[in-house]
Amino acid sequence: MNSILSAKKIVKRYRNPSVFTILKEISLEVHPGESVAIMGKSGEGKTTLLHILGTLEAATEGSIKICGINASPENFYTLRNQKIGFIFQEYYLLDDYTVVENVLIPAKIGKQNVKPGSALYHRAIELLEEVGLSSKIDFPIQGLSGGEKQRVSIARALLNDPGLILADEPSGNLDQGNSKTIYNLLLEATNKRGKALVIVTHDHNLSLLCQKTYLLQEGQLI
Amino acid sequence: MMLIALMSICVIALVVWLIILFLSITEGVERNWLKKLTSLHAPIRITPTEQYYSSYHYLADALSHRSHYVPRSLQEKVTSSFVDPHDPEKDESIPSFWPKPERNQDGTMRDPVKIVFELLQGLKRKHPDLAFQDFELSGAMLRLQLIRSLPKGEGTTRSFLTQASYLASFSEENPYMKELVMPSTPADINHLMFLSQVYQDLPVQEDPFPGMLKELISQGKINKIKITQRPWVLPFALLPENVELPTEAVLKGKEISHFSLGQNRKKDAVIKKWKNSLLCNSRELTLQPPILIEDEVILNAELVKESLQNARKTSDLRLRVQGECSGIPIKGEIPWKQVEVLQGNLSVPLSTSQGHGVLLSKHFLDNGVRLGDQGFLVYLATTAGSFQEQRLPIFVSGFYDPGILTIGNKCILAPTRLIHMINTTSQVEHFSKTASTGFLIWVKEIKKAKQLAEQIQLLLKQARIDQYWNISTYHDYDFAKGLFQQFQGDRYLFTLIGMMILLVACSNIISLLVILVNDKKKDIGILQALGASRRSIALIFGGAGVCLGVVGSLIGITAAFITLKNLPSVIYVLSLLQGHEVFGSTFFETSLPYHISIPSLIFILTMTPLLSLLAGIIPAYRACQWTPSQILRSE
Repeated sequence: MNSILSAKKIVKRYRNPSVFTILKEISLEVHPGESVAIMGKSGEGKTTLLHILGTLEAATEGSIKICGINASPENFYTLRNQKIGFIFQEYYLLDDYTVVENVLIPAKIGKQNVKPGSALYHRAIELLEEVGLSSKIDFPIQGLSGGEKQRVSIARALLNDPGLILADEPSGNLDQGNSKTIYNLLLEATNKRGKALVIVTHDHNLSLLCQKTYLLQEGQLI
Repeated sequence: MMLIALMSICVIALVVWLIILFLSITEGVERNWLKKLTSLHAPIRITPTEQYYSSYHYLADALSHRSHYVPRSLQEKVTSSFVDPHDPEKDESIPSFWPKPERNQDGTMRDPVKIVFELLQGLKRKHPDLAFQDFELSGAMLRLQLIRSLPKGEGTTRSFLTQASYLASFSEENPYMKELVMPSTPADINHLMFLSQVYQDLPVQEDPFPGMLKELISQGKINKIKITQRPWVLPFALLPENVELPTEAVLKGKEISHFSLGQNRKKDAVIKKWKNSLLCNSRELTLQPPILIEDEVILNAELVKESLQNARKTSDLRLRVQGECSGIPIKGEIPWKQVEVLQGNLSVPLSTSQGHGVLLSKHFLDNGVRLGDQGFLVYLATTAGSFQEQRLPIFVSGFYDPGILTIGNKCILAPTRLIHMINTTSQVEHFSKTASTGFLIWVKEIKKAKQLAEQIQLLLKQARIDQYWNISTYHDYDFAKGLFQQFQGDRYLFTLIGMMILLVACSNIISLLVILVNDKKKDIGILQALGASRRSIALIFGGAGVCLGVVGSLIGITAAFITLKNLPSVIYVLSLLQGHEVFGSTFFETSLPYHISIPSLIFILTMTPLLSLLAGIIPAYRACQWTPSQILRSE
């Protein structure tokens, strides 16, 4: 089966001021419907790896293939918009927009029709129903709880139907009950759609819900 | 953020308003002056060259009895029935060294003046808005006698005004002359009547009521008058028949000395006109006591033209009046006595049968010269043995606006034949020969003057008379050249200053957008993470800059339009605040002219968005320098 994400020999070095290698020739393959948890201590480079995998940051060495497309600075934006869905610990929603508007942002960036009544608008409503926010479609973001915000960001990540979902500590700011709900929701939504999921987390119990778990230690995945 | 954005828009709007206002007023003033200049001096001139003056066509007049041994004016040449004035049998023979006259193939003599006139007539048929006329310039000493009344009727004073002046021929064909001539006022008619009274009192005057003044007054139209005599003795003929009028009967002893009518008068008697008798309280009075009107009397009036023909003094003139005084409806005729014209106008002809009228520049009006004032044009004429001072009687028939030309206040417009008379007899040459006569050509669209001049030049060349004529347009007039250059210089200078101010105003956008970029750093990161390219992020901020610039420009343009439409009110308020006239009437007239400057609008509408875009690019570039990872980590 073709992998959704194929990372080969990823190296990341920083010059601050001396050269420091945080990721050492990491290779990773994730297939459709597969969920992968990456664990590790703080400062081991989990977020850096996730950002590199999501083309938010360039690797010093190595190559990444997403949905069969070689990632390069020229296609970073298209890949991020069409093939990758991001879920962040801090939610990163736009405060000036409503719930549904936030969900529609990736489509808007892709210059697709997002007017009420359009196919994408309907899809956004369906996704919000799926994450249990159908009653808060036109709510301003500031009025939502942390758990609700993360649900909005899950819906947003799924809008453009990307092959790869990258989640950086998706439950980091939530209580235990909410964390489990979010995890279940995320795993269910991705499994159901055959998406590849990569989660960076501290939580050992939650990582057990994923099909594979890696530990990032001294720049390498174990 | 909103406040800063509003401030940026306000600053841009203010600068745009200022630039459009200044450039529109500058252009308005320039156009106004240009219009005056070309109305008076015509946008195109055709003047004879030196070669014309040394040609047979010009020189032959001096030896020919048919031209009275003096050079004929262009008008005389055009209207004369002959081309060659010289008669070999009667006139002195032509010197052998003189140039030969130009001839057609059939041997007939070619007249460059007649040909140019015919060419212009042909052009006029093609361009109906074209007008042309010959002109002549000269110089003389203007001497005017200013007779003025002393306050409270304490007699009159006489003073003399003398000024060396240029004379320019008055162009009847000039379609714009009417706009240049200042409209007459009722004060002009009153001054004429005052002068008439003064002259009729002179013991030596043969005709007590000078014919010239009589002719001027006949051109007038009187609408409303005021009786200056208080109380006014109401002529019995004006009283309405069979109408009861409550009055105060003023007694002297037991007899009624007079009836008095007025607001403050009692109403103790009722008078009535009945079959040419006066009844008081229904009793016929054997003696008719005068009826005095004590209130101010203003009546609709009209001059009885027939009375003017036989008038030997002003009081012989009669006015047909109608109106109401102290509640009495009156109608009839009264003599012109103790009368002041309140409403009326005059259209004074330049020449009357009694003398030559001249138009003086409006500066004379400011210096107390009035319509109807009389005097002389004095010049030195050559006689057999010596120079002799010659005096040509003239009168002031009006005032014109010369614009802001430095020679404007010294230039008198006079009938062509008067100027030609001076030119042919005077010994002094005031202008170079090549500039003192020619043809003036007016066109409706001044900007087409150059094109038309080129066309005329070509026609002259085709007619083989181009060596005799020089064509110039208003751009080349020596007396206006400096002014045009000054205008152009001013406009360039202010456009440059305007651009600088605009640059400063637009740079305000940079600070606003830098703050905006910092404020929206997280959002920039999110958008980039979701697939927004650097270019689209840059476009957002560049676009924001352009939007601010465009909105500011549109507000500024709208404000400038509103200000320009209400310019008189704005100037009035400014004058009130300043305590004196903001714009001197010498340069700007009664109202400040303006013309919406299209180049300035184009300049604003292109420069402001461009500068705003440039101002927006700097913060936009800054926003694009961060990777989404950097932004999201820092947040």
